[in-house]
Amino acid sequence: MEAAEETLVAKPRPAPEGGGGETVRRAQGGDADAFEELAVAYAPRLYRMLVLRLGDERDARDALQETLLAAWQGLPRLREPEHFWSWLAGIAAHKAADAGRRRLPVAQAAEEAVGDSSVSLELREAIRALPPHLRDVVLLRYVAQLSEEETARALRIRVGTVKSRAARARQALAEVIG
Amino acid sequence: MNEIEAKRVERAVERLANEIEPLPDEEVAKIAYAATVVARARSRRPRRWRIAAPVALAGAAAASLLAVPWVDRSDGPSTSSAATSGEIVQFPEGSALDRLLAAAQKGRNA
Repeated sequence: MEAAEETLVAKPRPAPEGGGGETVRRAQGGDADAFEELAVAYAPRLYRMLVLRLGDERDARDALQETLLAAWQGLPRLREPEHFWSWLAGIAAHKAADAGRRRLPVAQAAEEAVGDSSVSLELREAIRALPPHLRDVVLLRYVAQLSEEETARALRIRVGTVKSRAARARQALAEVIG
Repeated sequence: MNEIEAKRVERAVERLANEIEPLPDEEVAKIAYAATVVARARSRRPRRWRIAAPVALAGAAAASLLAVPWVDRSDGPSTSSAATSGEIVQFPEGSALDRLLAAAQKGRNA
């Protein structure tokens, strides 16, 4: 069990910052194939983050599509191609926040359907119960696997704020995990 | 909360994320493609026109330059002896046929 957890933690994120720099630059130049390559590489983790953030797979798919569309349109303005992943995850967080504000309370029923084991369900519930500003930090840090600095950049907040929010979120979630 | 407890939370959240049914590859590819297709329709078309417009203008200019000699030949009398169209070549003094007929008549009279 511990070994499995170690493997999970050691698993690299979709593509390391800087790793796809050349592809990002090609996409910035209008190369749609390069952008699709990036999207296919990053979309699975973004999708997971969005499912946890929104609690609904259909909403997550819609938010993913909006994220990729916004990314393609905004890509020429990205100044640091090596920070593509944190930039993209930040867009996803904002799109999820927009989607979260648009829906409710109709989607609540759909959210209940998502979930596997009781622990997972409780944890999902606990994540969903977090205030949005704490939830975004948790998901960017532990699902998107951004560093504190990258999370701060993605959410346009200070690193100190990321640290304090992450600590508060962990505290709340720890009570569920037991 | 100590560091070990913090790590436990991080791992639990990450494990939860990995439990989520992934999107099928085809679905991911479709979403990725859709993003660029919509965007192409919105933003790439003007760029294509920006490239196409000067090319079209250059083409039109070249075509008009090529057309100029043809236009000259069909308008008014020409000083050229090379007949390049089906019409009878015109000289300032009259058409080539008129001049030949006049010369023949003059010879017969002489």
